[in-house]
This record gives sequence, structure tokens and C-alpha cells, in this order.
Amino acid sequence: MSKEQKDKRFYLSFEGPFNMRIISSSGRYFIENLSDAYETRISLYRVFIEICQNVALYSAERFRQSNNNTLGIGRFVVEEKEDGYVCSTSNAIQPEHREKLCKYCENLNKSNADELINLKSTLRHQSSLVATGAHIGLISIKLYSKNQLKYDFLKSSDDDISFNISAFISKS
Amino acid sequence: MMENLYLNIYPELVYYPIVDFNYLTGECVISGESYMEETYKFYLPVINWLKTYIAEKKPVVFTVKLTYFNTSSSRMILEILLILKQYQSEGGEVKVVWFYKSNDPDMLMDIESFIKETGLAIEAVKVDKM
Repeated sequence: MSKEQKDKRFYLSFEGPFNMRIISSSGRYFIENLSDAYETRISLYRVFIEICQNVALYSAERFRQSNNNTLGIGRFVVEEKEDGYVCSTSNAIQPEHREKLCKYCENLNKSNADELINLKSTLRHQSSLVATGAHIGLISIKLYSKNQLKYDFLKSSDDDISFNISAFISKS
Repeated sequence: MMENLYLNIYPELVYYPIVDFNYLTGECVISGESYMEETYKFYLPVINWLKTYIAEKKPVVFTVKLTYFNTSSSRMILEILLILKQYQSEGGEVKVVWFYKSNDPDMLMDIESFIKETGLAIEAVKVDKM
């Protein structure tokens, strides 16, 4: 077996509080060390940062830092496949958010690129300068990945549901 | 006289952009990447500097050399562009130039979206290296 055949595909995972230093340094690794075309690496990087910030902002499970700010707790996995990369996160959400989030993801998957760009613009205009959430990041994930979002909801405890979402970034 | 605004607060952290706004020349450059946690806190002095500067009715050349910005940062960039558009519609001299890598079509998509949203004639400049 040649060395190439023995080489394993790329796999990276993390579980814990989604601190920006951790997210950023992991993301930079894709840009600086993967051997794919720049288009693939930058798409993976952007999807990864957006999908991780979704956890940091919205996870129902929070970690309080020494500066009193809280970070969302969750898990990310980035896994290389033959034709691309799967970028996934899991985090707790409150049960009452499930239906709204599910419909939102459904709508994103039904929308084409132009519709997504228009939706992003509309929501961006409507959002305030201080609180810029509104799940606009999920639109960016769909736009940058150019593939359907996969998502499901699993009951994790009496109080919370685990929201699992993944995006596929095709190799150029 | 106003002072220049130069922000390179955490050079080791790539998610903070470099802001280099020059009072004398009106050349205002933002470069690097932008996806910090407290986006508003970072951009507030940038927006305030720009508002104070244009109150003096001086020309502005706003140059963007960002290779990535997250959605929160894009809201702040939109705010800057809307301020410049308003200034231009009041007679202010405004030029916006946005550099993007030739192998980054998604950045061009974002630039075109900002053009549509703001009505500003943003000059998109394709380059091989940033």
C-alpha cells in the first residue's frame, strides 16, 4: 500500500465552550494546511466560522467566562470525504424553538441563491447594530456551502433538545 | 484637528481587522478579517470617527481589503456604507473601492449585494493576492 493510500482523511472535532480563539485557530488550520484549492478552503473556513458562531450565540447550554460573558457549549466535527468536507455542529436548544428553527431551515433549503441573498439583505437591514443575530448566519452557511443543509433535532434531556446541523462543502 | 484612527488592537488575533483611517488624506482602509465576538464594541469608534470626519465636508476614499467578515460584521460594514451614501447624497465626495481575490467569487457576490443594498457605486477590484 502506498503512503498516499495509507493517509487518512482529515477529521477534527471539539466539544466544549465555543470560544472565538478556539474557533478561529481551528478555522485557520483549514486555510493554511489543507491541500485543496483556495475556493474550497475559504468556503470551508467561512462555513465553519458561521456554523460555530451559531453555537456560540444560540446554544441553550452556556459557559460563563471570567469576564462574565457567556459562551454557547456544543460540539463541532469537520470531516473530509472523497468529494468534499462535512462541517457539523450540535448544541442544545430550548424545545419551544424547535418548530421555528425547523421551518427556517426548511425555507432556506427551498430557496435559490438569489432568494437567499435577498433574504440576507432584508434581515440585515432590519437587524439592529447592537444585536445582530436573527440567524442570518444560517443563510450565509447555505450560500457559502452551495449545498442543502442537513439538520435534525434529538431529545437530549427533559428540558433541552439537541439541534444538529451540517453543511457539505464540495471540493473544487 | 482630528487624529487619524488606527486600530490593530490584537495583531495575533486574525478575527480583528486592521483599521487605518487617515484624516489628512481621507483614505480609510479596513483590511484583514472581521468576526470578533463583540462586533458593535469594535466598530462603534470606527463609525463615530467617520461621522465626525464627514461633518467637516472632506472627501472620503473608503477601501475594503477584507478576505472574510461574518454576518455581524457585515451589518457594521453596511452601516458604514449607508453613512457614506447619505453623505454622498448630501454632496459629499465619496469613493468606495473593494479589493477581492480573483479566486473568491463569493466575495464578489457579497460586494454586489452591498451595491444593491446601499445604492453606492462600489468599485470591485479583482487581485491575485491581498
